[in-house]
Amino acid sequence: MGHFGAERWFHTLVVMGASLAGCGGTLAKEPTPSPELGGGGAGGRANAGRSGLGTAGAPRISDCAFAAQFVCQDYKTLTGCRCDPSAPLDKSACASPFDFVCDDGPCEPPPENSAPSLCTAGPAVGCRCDPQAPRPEDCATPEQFFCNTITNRYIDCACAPASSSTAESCPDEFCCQSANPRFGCGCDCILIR
Amino acid sequence: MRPVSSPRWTRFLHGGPLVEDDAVRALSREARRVLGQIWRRRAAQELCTSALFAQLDAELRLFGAAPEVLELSARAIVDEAFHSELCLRLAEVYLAEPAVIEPLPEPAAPTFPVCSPRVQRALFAVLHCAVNETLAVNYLSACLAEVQSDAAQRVLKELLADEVRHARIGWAVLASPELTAQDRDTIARFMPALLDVCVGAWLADTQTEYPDDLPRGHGCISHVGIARAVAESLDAVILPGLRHVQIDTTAASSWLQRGAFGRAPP
Repeated sequence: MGHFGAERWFHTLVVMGASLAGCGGTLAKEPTPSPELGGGGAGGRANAGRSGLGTAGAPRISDCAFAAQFVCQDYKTLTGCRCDPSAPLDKSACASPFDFVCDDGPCEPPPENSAPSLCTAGPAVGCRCDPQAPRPEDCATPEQFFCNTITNRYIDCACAPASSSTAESCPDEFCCQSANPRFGCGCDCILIR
Repeated sequence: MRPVSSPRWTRFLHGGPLVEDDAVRALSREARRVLGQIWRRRAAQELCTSALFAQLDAELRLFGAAPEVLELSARAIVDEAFHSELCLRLAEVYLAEPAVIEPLPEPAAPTFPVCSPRVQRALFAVLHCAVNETLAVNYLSACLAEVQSDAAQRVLKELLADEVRHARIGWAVLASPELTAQDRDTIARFMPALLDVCVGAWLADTQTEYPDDLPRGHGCISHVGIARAVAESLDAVILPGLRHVQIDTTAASSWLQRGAFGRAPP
């Protein structure tokens, strides 16, 4: 560990930054977008027409009907993996959309004959409904609830009591991360879609 | 005291005005003057960075960067202007008088001797964000670790939070599927030059306008501290980061092992 803990910045800067570029690997090309989620969403089909673990050896995401249903005990080593057909595919499958949580899946290497490609952020896998996940009601007001990402699922959400801006304090700039449900409001929205 | 009106200022001021605190009051008049000048100079540098981000933003649109990245780059222009205001206001706290920014020359976008516009644009993002802003994150983090002044701490936190997003722009560009394997090889070959320019700039600052006997705890770590932050950033973030986005680090590692900025080889 460096004196200033520089290692911790690797994930914060590099991994998070690289993930903004999207996934250019084969996994990004294969999924068929679900009508609601769009490309790369948790419900993207991993391999249409197949379900269960039809291959010998270590199971892969493509063995499941949907990436969201690919569940492992350890995604780095791909141990304890299986397909869970009961796993929710999107936010609407949970009692509250904020309950829909997933893990970040691994990237699969491209086929040998494919063009060079890069996958720095795998698909959403191991999706589930977690009633303990943070939600706007946890905050003093829903406006104080902010998430880093809201598009396909709510990621890195928390209450930010200091962000007590009101529409009166910045009438021209006031905005919310989400209008329905309404949350994450302030004088300039911090939002990574 | 100058009036401020931007939305971010409004939000920042919810935490209270930026005022003299005990740590600042404990300083000698000379120390306050020197620290104030450093923060005032930073205000000018932040304005330059804002101008560079305006150029980079235009290039990234031509590059075809992802919408999320373009959102960050567009926002960075405003972020850096806000940083300039923050730094100037902190300079006034130390100087105990109104301060003005002495404009620096308009920065020019870097150019690289490569034919591909795509690689040109990627190298711009690598230099400005993946390398320079990453170094800035490590530097500011080190400053925060020892800060004593409440006012300086509030400013450093604001700067750091934004620089994290700015650094991600560069890493996102490097991870972009727009870049071919040949592009990545070209970028890899340029890395020693890019690192040399950036690291040289960070360390040159320590030798000219940044006295080493400054009181600690006001957002200006020692020369040794800067060199350490730079070295750790290279070792723990930048080189591993390049490997993460499939940029060969052979040339960059050789540059590092030469002890190009006065440190012993790892």
